[in-house]
Amino acid sequence: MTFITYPRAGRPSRAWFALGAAVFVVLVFLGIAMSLTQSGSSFGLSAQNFYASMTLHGIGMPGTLFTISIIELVVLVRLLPERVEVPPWITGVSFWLAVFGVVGLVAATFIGKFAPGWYMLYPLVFVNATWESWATGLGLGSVLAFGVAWLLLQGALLWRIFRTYGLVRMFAWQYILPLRVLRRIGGRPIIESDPTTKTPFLVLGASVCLVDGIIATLFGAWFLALNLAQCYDPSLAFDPLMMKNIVFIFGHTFVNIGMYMAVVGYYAISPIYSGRAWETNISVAIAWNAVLVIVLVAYPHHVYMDFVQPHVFHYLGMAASYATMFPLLVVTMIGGIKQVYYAGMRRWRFVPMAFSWGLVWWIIGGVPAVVDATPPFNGVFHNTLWVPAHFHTYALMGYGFFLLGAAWHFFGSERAERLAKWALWVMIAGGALFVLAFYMGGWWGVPRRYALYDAIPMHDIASVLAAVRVFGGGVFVGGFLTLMFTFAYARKR
Amino acid sequence: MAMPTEGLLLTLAGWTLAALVILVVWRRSYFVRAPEEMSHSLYGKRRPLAIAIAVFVVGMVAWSYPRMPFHAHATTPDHVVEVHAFMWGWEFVVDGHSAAQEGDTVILPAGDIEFRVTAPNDVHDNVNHGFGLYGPSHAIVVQVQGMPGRTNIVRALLTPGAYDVLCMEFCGVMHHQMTAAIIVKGESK
Repeated sequence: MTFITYPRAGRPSRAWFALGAAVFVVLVFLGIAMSLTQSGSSFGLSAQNFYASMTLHGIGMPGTLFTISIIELVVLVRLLPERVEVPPWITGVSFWLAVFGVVGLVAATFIGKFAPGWYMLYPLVFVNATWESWATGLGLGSVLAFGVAWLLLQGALLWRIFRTYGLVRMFAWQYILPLRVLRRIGGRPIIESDPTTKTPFLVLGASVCLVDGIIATLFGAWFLALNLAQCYDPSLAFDPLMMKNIVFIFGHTFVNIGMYMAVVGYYAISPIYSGRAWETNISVAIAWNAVLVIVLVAYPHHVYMDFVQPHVFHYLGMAASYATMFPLLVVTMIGGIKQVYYAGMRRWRFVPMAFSWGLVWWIIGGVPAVVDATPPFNGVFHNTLWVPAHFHTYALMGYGFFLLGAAWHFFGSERAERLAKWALWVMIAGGALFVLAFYMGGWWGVPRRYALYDAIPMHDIASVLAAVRVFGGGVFVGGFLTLMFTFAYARKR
Repeated sequence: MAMPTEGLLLTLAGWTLAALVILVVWRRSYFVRAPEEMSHSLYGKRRPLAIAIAVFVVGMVAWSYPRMPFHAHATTPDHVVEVHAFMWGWEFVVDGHSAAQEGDTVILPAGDIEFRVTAPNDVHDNVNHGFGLYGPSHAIVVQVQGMPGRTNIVRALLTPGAYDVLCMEFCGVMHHQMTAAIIVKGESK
């Protein structure tokens, strides 16, 4: 059995994780403030501040999780036997671009009241804007700064992987292709005793995610560029349906592939704790090459309610959304189960516990996602609280726990493990209550992105459920802060 | 609340299955078996799992296809209602005439209605909205997007009663106030 052991991550990675954790906590509190507003509390935000907070929360959360996921990959590939190193100047420049993005976006939303939502659904930025005009430029510019940081990091990482492993090995095509085809494209067949003919899973997973991540980022950049062009020349006009497709190719792919990046970390780190290899084989190679395509073409499920869109997109979106189940359940779920199955777990350590719960919540959130990706159900769930319900399930407790497991692996300490595990249980309890209230709201048809519920027919139940979310979110953030304390405690040893 | 409840039940069924798997795996994680035996026990389940997912997918596609909300209808509707979404409010035109109103409440006819939803006029003075029609039991009857320069068509069978229209796409600072009260009157043809 071969598995790699990783030394600890260095100081620059610590700065990234610390920045990520700090931004995450602030954004969770913003989320709680939004739920408090929706509950009708007199301590709530004004509508303008609500939508500005929603914009910051909606860009900041996926952006933070995505950034930390890339950094996790940068740390991990450095420790491979055939090591891949991203030049320090790339990570350094990206870090300061990210800091600029955070500061700029906070200024645009908090001071300038920039409030078009994360997706800035064209032409929302230009028509009857209720915020300072400078905030539009600063908001778009800040997101662009993030985009440049993501492109730099992903591009450098993918390029270095390509230089070290070559095209065939980085996508593990030698596991899939017939020998004749493989030889023709310059690949070498696998020799059991020769590791240079194989593909470490980390390389395959990272390559797949980075290709989709770069494509997504480029679509995001295209969308921003068109918006900036119209800022410069207000007489310009673009097709709103095209703009909607572009922004959802970006948004859907960005959030999904970021989560897959965190899953790659799970595959890579988990074997260290279980002693059971989690390596590339033919089914893993097929599954992850399929992920490369599926994630890119599933986005039309965000555009189901535009019936003028050619219907082939609707069917493509549904097919791709359903196809996700095969790699996720047959390959990743079975692989994840293997890490703990009949493994004599007398004592669960924090890292496998966080990873296993991450997998559980990823699947739990995936079920209502597949339901919503079915057009007849989308007709009643689209843009209701059903949507934030499912993505908070796998963002907070799937994506989030995968990253926390990795963070604990890099920076945690056995001394503080007991407290960390308790903190995780508190996060699970609070998070479960929080998303349950969201699901109930979705079932009742409560629309999302409403600052207040006083004008809707089901306002009583909607406000009560918002109050439950405040409580659940409060418990969750209590657990998270405790966990952050355990990291500080671990540092002091 | 037919559709949302069906969606919730399907979700609960999926969660129950997931919970069973979690319980079994969690229980077995405390015991030890030889690696080959463990692998055999686990990997033997991949094929039936893949087949079960395939059956589920085929079943869901067969169930969904006739229910796709965007299918064109061959029959002629009883009435055509044009829905104009603007920042921030709604206008309804029934068979070419502005809809009658009682105070702030809009009167719409009962029957098989074709809604033609749009956001007049263009991207320089309007944004995307979402037309969400909620029925007397407060459940969504139909929804579709209202986009500048496009007209989305959706059909609904309306029985007399009180309805609400809510905006289903974020459209700016007054989005949460963009509602309309509707009374459906009369009998279907």
